[in-house]
Amino acid sequence: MTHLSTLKLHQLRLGELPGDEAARCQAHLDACALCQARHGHQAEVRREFEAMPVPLAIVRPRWQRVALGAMPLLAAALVLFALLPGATPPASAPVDEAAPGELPARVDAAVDGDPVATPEAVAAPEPAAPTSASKKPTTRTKGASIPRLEAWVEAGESERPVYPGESLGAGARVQLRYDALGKNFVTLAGRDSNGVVEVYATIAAGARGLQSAPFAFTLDDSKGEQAFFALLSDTRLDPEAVKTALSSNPVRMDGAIVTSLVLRKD
Amino acid sequence: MSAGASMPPSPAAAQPPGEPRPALRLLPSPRESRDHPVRSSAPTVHGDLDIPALYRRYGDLVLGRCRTILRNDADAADAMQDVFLKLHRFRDSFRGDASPSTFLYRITTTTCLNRLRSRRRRPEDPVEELPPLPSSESVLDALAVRQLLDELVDGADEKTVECLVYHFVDGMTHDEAGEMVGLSGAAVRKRIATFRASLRDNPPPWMEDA
Repeated sequence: MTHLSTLKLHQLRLGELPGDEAARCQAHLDACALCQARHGHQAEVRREFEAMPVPLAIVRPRWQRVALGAMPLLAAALVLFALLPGATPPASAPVDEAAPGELPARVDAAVDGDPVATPEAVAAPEPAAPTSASKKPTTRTKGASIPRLEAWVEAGESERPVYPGESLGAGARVQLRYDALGKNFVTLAGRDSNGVVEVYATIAAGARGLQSAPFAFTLDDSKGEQAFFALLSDTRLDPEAVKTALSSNPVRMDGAIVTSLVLRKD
Repeated sequence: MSAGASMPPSPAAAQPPGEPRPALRLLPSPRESRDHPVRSSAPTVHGDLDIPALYRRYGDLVLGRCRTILRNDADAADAMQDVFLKLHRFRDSFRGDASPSTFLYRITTTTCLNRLRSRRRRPEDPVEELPPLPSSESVLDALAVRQLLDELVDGADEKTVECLVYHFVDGMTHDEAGEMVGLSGAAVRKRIATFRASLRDNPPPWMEDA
């Protein structure tokens, strides 16, 4: 077999190759020093890429950039209006206050065109209550980290990220994608609205970058909010310790980075 | 109960008796396994390409590609952004059956080769003065990539240059390179052979494999 092409190496890492081809490519990769070096180089680029700020031009669609560019003019016009004799001050804009137990809304995923569903990448301890992005769209400020846990839902012949605020119905198939951040293990777990915690699996982390969980979920007909957790660790975590940690409030898990997101099902 | 009732027992089934039934039970689907990885398709939002999602997932692929061809960090970062901003323009050419990585790889290659051509036309910014990056995802070493892109391809038409890059720099087979440029594998082989024959000096040893 000749060397793996650069594109094949990427597709292998991204899990985009069919099963038999992936196995063939993986076997070559395991035996080929050159391809391993190239694979390692790709991992380095991935790390560098993740440290780079997301360009504003990528995050915001063009019309928003134009609108933002016009904001100073609008502000100047408002000041001018306020200074005019006889002008009445405009009513205060409603302040978006975070409810107790919720994180204040930060990046506006919807506004930014970011469809990621309520991911809150946090190092333990976690916020007191599961942050419901389904209630408030989370926002990502410039320079903030890229989400480490995403939920995708099957949509026809393809898949798409779950939108902020979206409720999923019975039968929806949800796929989790996580970034292990270079840790050795990823433990996937869930907590329902009754506080019942399930530990689904502990997975040996693969390459860096977003990886699909090796299984998906089909939602049944019960209702409520469901939190998902990815616990990133260098050693395999004890499932009982994970259950205890995720049942506590706030969540504390020594030796693990805890990432979570919340889905709502109506 | 949903269709999940016919599926294998979920982790929830192992719940000790006496504990409350989860309000939202999640049933692992047998359709996803390591043997059948999740099919990836281009993230779309309301029928349009979701550029931020594509950027998050494939940005490193594009960046690495830009670096390999342009061999300059600043140019590569600029070209990467350019590629994603161009996606709206190319969305109609995106075929639903092509993987997004292939689609992006093709656009990135075209974008970078165009930049390389225009850079070559600017004498104030000669390519020869750019230091080669220390390591690469290419099957060729950095000097061979530089030799191919800066010295050998002068005069070759755009499609032939793409064939050369996909085959020699990326290590694609003739058939794979053909899929990228819209030619048959045999046509790619012929173009490469013709190009090699056109070289006045002896072709470099790494080109013997053509």
